[in-house]
Order: sequence, then C-alpha cells, then structure tokens
Amino acid sequence: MQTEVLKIKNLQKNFKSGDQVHQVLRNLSFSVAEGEYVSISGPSGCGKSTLLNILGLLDTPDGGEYYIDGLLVSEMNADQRAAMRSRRIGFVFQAFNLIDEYTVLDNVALPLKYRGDNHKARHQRALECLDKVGLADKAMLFPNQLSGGQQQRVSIARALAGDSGIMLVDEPTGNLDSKNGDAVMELLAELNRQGTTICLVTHDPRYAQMAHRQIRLLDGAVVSETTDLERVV
Amino acid sequence: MNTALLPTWFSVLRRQLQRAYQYYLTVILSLVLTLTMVFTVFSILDVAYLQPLPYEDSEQLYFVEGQMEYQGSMFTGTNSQNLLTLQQGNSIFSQFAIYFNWTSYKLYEQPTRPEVPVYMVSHNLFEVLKTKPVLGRFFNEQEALGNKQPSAILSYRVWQRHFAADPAVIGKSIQLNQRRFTIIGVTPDNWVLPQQTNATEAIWLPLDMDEQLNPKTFGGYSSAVKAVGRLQEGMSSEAASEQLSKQMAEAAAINTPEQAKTYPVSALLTPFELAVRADSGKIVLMLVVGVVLLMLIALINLGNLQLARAVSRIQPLAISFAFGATRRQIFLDVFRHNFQVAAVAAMLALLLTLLSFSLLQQIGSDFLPRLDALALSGFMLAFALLVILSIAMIFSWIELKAIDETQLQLSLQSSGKGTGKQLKKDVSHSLIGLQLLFSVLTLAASSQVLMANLTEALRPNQITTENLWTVVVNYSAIAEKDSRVNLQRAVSEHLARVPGVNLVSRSSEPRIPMALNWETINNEQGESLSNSRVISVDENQLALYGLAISGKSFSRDDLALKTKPVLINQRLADKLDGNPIGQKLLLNNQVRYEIIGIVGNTDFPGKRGFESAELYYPGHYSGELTDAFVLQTENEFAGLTHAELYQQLIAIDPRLDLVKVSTVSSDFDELNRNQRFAAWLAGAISLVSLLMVCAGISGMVSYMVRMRRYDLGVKLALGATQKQLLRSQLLELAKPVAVAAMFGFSLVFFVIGYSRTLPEWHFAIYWSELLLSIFFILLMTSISCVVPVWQVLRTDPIKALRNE
Repeated sequence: MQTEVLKIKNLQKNFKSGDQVHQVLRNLSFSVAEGEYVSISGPSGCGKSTLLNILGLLDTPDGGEYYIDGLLVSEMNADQRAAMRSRRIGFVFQAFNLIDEYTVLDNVALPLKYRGDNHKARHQRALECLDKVGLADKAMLFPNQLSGGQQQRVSIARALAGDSGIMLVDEPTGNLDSKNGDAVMELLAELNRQGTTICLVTHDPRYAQMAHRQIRLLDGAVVSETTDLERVV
Repeated sequence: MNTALLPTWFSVLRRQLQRAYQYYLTVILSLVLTLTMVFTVFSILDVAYLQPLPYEDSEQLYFVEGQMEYQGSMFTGTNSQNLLTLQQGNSIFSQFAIYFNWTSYKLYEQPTRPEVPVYMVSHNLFEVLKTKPVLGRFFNEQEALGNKQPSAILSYRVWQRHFAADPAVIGKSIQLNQRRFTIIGVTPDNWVLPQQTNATEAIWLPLDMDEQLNPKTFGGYSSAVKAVGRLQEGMSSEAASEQLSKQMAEAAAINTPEQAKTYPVSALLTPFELAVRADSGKIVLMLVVGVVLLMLIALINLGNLQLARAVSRIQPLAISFAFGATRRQIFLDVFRHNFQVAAVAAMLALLLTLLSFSLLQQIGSDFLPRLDALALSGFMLAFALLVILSIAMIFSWIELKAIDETQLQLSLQSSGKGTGKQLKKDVSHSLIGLQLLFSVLTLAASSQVLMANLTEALRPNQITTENLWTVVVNYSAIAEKDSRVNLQRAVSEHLARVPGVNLVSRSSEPRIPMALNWETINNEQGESLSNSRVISVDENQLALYGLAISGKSFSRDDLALKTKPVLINQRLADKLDGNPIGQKLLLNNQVRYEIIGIVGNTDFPGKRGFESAELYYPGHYSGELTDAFVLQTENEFAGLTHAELYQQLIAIDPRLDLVKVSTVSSDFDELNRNQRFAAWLAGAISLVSLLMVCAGISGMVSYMVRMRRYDLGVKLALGATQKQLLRSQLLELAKPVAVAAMFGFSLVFFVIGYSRTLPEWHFAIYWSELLLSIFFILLMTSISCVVPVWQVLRTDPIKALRNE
C-alpha cells in the first residue's frame, strides 16, 4: 500500500468580488500517493490553479482539511507553511519565475538558502539538479540568456533541489512551443519514474494523459477521475 | 569583455547595478550629500558638547573676564593689574591663573619665519587646569612673575608641525622675534581656552615675558586679558560671582582710578565649559535643525523611490516566498541589501566629512568652539552606524510594507494584470505634496540665506581699491625711536623706487584694521560722542582711496603742525549737532582738535563691526611699533610677494619685519570670504534639495503610473490619445502640487510676518528671489511628473495590457 503524501478533504475556496461571493472550489476531496503522477485538468476558471496554489501552501482554503504526510497543514501559520514549503514542496510555474539578477546556479540553490544549508552544500546540490535536467553547463549564465525551454528546465531543477519528493507543476508548457513543451513533459515523466511525486495542472489533454491519474475539474468540483488502468480498459 | 573570467559575485553585483542604475545613483548620491551634512554637523556637536575637555575636573573650572559699562551697554575688557590684585588676595578662588595674548611673534628658527600665537601665562596656569605635559615639565616657581625666566612651552601641534615631533626638543633654544627662549615642555593635544581659537597651536611664555605688555603696569582694559580659576570649597558660583564683581571694582579703583570713574568695572564668572561653547549653542541648534529637515526631505524622497522599487522587487520576493523563505528571512534579505547601500553611502559621506574639516576650521572658527579637535571620533562612528541601521530599517520597512503574502501569491500568477495591492491614491498624492512642501520651505530659506550673504558680499566698500597695495612694516625690534623714523623713511624711499609704483603714502594703520583700536572722542563740552578709530595719515592717503571730502583736506604743511586739524568720517559727523566743520573735538578728554573736513564712509562688506567712527589727523611716522604704506601702482605692476619684499627690507636693516603685503582688493575679498562661502553653501543646498525632490517625485509618479499601466493600456486600446491621457494624469497630479506650493508659501509668509514682530529676528526679505525659487521648483516638479507619464504612454497598448 502506497503512502498518502497529499490529502484534501472537503476543500473549499471562495473569492469575493464586490458584494458577491464566488465559490471556486466546492468540497474537493482526493489524495495523492507517494510516487504518483497526477494531472488536474479542466476548462479555464474551473479552479485548477487555485487548487494547486492551496496544495503548494501559497494560498489558504476557506474550508476543509489539507494533509501533507498526515499532518494537518490547512491551519498552520505563515512561518509553519514556509517551513513546509521549503521541506516538502517543489513548485514549477507557468511563467518560470526565475530571478533575473541571480545566476542559474543561484536560482536553483534558492530553496536550500532558506533551509539554512551552507553555501558550498547549496551549490553542490544545485549543480547535481542542473545535471539531472541537462543544464549543468549553463550554471553561470543568467536566466535571460536561456531559451524558454531551458528556463523551464532550470525551474524544474529548482523544484528538485530541495529534495522534497513532491513537485507541483502549474501549466509548465503554457509559455513554450510544442517541441519544448514535449521535452519538458518528457523530463517530468522521467523524474516521476525516478520516484518524484508529481501533481500537474494542465489544460492540454495530451499532457494530462501522460499522468497515471487524471482528475478533471469543472466549476470547482471533481467531475471525473481516471487512472491509466481504466483508460486501457 | 570576457565576463566568464569575472568572479560570480562581481557579475551579480554588476548586473544588479545595471538593471537599476537610476535607483542606486539617486539613492547613493542623495544619501552621500545628506549624510555628509549630517555627519559634519554631528562632528561639530561632538566637539562642542560631547568630547570632554582635556583638563581634569573641568566642571570645577571657571573663566574670569572683566566688564565695563559704557553708555548703558556692557563691554568686555580686563586689566591685568586688577587680576594680579585678585590673585594676590581673594577669598573666592583656591587657585587662580592669568593669561593674555598680545604681541605678534614669529618663529625665527624656521626659514619661513612663521607667525605663531604666543600666550603669556601665570606659572600656575597648568596646575589650575590640572593637566600633565606630554614631554618635559610645565612652569613652576622658577617662572613666577618677576623672575623673567626665558622658558617656553610648546603646544602639541607646534611641536609636531615646527619641530617634527622631535622627542629631544626639551632644552633646545628657540628665537621668538629678537629673543631666545628654552623649551621646557610640550602640552597635550586639543588644548582649548574660551574665545581663543589658536590655543592648540600656541607657544606659552611666563606672564612677564611679553615684548610690549607688562602686566604689572599695563593701564588699559583689553579683551585679550583673561583668567581661569577653581572656586574655594563650599563657595557657590552665585556668591563667587557677586564677590568677584565687587573685588574687581575695588581693584580697578586702586589700579586705574580714572577709567574706573568713567566706566564702572565689574567681572563675569562663567563655568569654563560653558565659556568654551560661548554663543555657539544657537548656531549649533540651527545647524542641527537644518540637517534634520534635510534628512527628512531626503528620507521622504528616497522613501518614494523605495516604494517604486518595491514594485519591481515583488517577483523575486514572491519566488523566495514560494520556495520556503519565512517572513524573517525575507526581511533579512531586504535588510541586508539596504544596509549595504546605506553603508556605501555612509562611508563615502564619512570621507567627505573628513575632507570638510579643514574648510570648516577655516571658516567656522569665529563662531564654533574646538573645531581644531574635529575628528572621526568613536562617538562619530557609533552615530554613523546608528544612522546606517536606521536608514536600512526604514527602507526595509517601506519596501516590505508595500508587499504582503497575498500580493506575493498574486504576483506568481501568470496573467500579470495589475500588481495586486497598491498604495492608495490619497497616500501617494500626500507623499508628493509633503516632499514638495519640505522642498519649498528649504528652497525659500536657502534662497534668502543665499541672497542675504550675496548682498552683503557684493556690497560696495565706497572706496577705490584698484591698483592699490597695502604694506605693513614692524619696527619693534629697533629700540630707538629716531632709528625707527629713519628706517621708515628709508623703507618709504625704497618702495617708491620699486618699478611700477607711482606713489607711496603712509598711515598709522591699513584701511582694513588688523586690530580694532578705539579711542574715546568727546565734543567740546566734554560729552562722550563715540569710540572711534584714530588714524594718522599723510596728505595723499585719503585721495588715494578716492574718498570724497567736504571741506578741506590735509596739506603737506599740516603734517608738521603741533596743533593738528582733523578730518572725521560721516559716521562721526552724524553724531555732532549742526555743521561739524569748525567744531572742536576732544581726544581722550585731553587735546582739542578742529574739524576741517568730512570724509566719506568706508564700508567693510562682511565685517560690519569695522564700520565705525573714524578720525584722521595729519602726521609723519613718529616711531610706533608698526606703520602702514599704501602703494599706488600702474596697471601692469608685476606685484610683490611677501618673500621678495621681506628680503628687500632685511637688506635695508635685518631688524625690520614685514607684517603684511597684499592688494587692497584682496584684503576686502578676505573680509567677505565667509559670506561668499555661505552663499555658495546655500546655493548648493538649494540645488541638492531641488534634485532630491525631482528624483523623489519622479519616482513616486513612476510608481503610480506603473500601478495603472494596465488601465492606461485599456484606455489606449479603446481609442484614447496619448495627449488626452497625459492631460488627465497631469491634472490629477496638479492638485497635490498646487496645495503643497500654496501651503508652503503661506507658511513662509507666516514666518516672515511673525519675524517682523521680533526685533532680534529682523532680516531683509528678497521677495523676487523667493517667488522665483518657488516658481522654479514648480517647473521642475511639472517636468518630473510629465516624463514618467509620457514614457508609459509611448508604449504599445498591448504591452501595457500585458504589463510588460
């Protein structure tokens, strides 16, 4: 039996717009096991990015419970959430979100800085991660000296650097052409084969199907959940 | 350039600076200029109030000087005989010492024969001050009054500068003017005496060793004679003050009965520390208020820049946040960066402050105490560190205040529409208005200071100064009066033969006096008219200066008369009733002189204290210690240097000494040097204030426009023209600008009006310059508003919509 690393129960999130309250997530419940590759897809505005932000502790739910490794994290304070992010979550953004002032190496080492690792250890680990994504030779360059695909791979290396085991990926191919997008997706698949738990948000059905389990959202609720096995069947 | 060879940290630093060079340039420049002024003023505060005096138990030291009442006002003037009487028998002081500084001395040991200040002191002065020598010993009973012991003590800086800090200087012989002295000791550094700015660079001789003033027989009252003492145990300062005045009056009645009758004599007892600070308290307070205001303006300006910078820092901070940085870690990152920026600025400012010390000593020694002790002390460095930490803290707070967790989360979204939380429009407008208000006040004040000083510096002196040179010769080394007279004639003839010199005229003192010596002038009825300069001149002197004379001038024959006619200047003439010509004046209540003419006033821009009554009488040089010449030269006159003329004089007689040779123009320029400097400083402050407000407002407007970039993009996309949007943005900004300008002007107007009710605050107002400065700042503010708005409006709508 695989260990549950992420679990949400009756998760709710609302957004206020003037006097109106719009329910973005409605009583969502599901879990992600260690080593699983889960995709979350759905049309624009279905709440998938909101869900990923909550899973990544970048946002807090208005109701329900969220567990990481069995710990109830939905009621943690800001510093506890930061510590959890640093230890357990690696995030990959659609817009890469690399810091232009830092070298590629420093960007990848950033999560380790806030964990308190020393300079040498950080850079060593960062180089290892860059090597995994095939960009060790670009360590001393700056982000704007890289192509979009390379920047996204650096972003993936950064998510790996903390050795968190869980990677949350938000529309990684949104700003890339199809060739680079395929390359990034292939990298993610390889990382999952190496044991990384991946939770991917995408609107592209091709990429959604690369995951072992696909969760479809509509208007903030799960409308379907399929696994590889079921698809074959 | 092969950047791969550069160390990583350098590449990162360079990149950071390149990306935000405007921000770093503005912040560092603003901080360097402001902090230099802050540190300079703090240094002045430090030496005046914080650094202890170099004397033990200095809080028990008191400073004594005499006072005389004349026409309802009190004047400082002490008689040495009175002080000696006090010293011999008084119940007030347990220890009492006298000192004075009178004659000019030159160190003949040195090839350039530099002039050094020399103080004559009681043998127990150093005991009273409770200080120990750095080398050798201080005076003791050997140097007591009456022994005429030729011992000399060097001040620390004299020892350093003129004797190369020679550790074997004790026992060496030095020549001061025509006499030799033996060095017996060296004082510690940073000596200070109240009202004496040159005590740190003086030589100290026993009380009875002056060439001219014998303290046992001196009958005059002078501000150069002072005393210090420690009170008897149990004696309060109030009781001491009362008794001292009484005893001084009694001593005056015995020693100088005639003066004591005319000018009631008393004494002033001041705590030594207070006497050292003197009237500097007001000036220091003004300086402190001034730099606090400047610092406030700078921080408001830079705060606006920080807000604008915060916008650009959201993304990196958000990423750090996303990857586990706690609030504390984010704060530390931000604080570290701001600390580094502030530290760089502070170090540059400290360097500039250090460089400013010598300038400050030159121009401020008349107003501020202990400037010779200016240094980057421990207090100073601690203060600098506190300032750096405070600035870093304020900047970090501003930067992080503009950002919160929600905003960080929003900035990680890919759409990029808007930038989340923004500063409210009211707050932004208030900040703009506040900056402008402070700048209006600063500019108004500095423009007035500039004009006041410039007006004084450029005030005409009412005389001709072109092609005129002043030469002052010292004959004191020649004992016989007849020899002096002969030598003076020889010098005059020599000067007349110098190529390019057309005419040589003599007077008892130069047009700009080296020391103000006044004598009492009475009218025929014996009523006191004024204290006046009394100057002996030949028949050519007044005409050389182009001074208008009504009535008669002197003729050559007048010089030889026993009963001489006199000329008076207009200031003295105004004190007489009726037509002064033909009236008689009494000089020191003794000799009657008939007024034959009235001479135009000479003004002394920069030194109004010299603009006094003047009485001229015709005369040849009659053997005084010094005498002056005025040389009228041709246009092509090559000039005279001190060294050249000195050699020529000692070729006539080696006992002659040259005190001064300079053009009359440069003498007058020297007088208003402080005013010119103050005008420059006020101009610099105005410019800095203007630049800072422009940078700050530009930064704030830039921030506001970037916040609304998306909105502007939508409007552009829907057909609004750039001009329409520019107009609407500027109209919006015009409100806080107009309010601030009006409020600032009203405040200035109120202050001016209020000052009119206070006599001691009466000063001239330069309205056109005031209005011009306000107009100018409004113009610069408008430009600062237009430029960032126009820059955004020039982009394609789609870029604005995407917030690129």
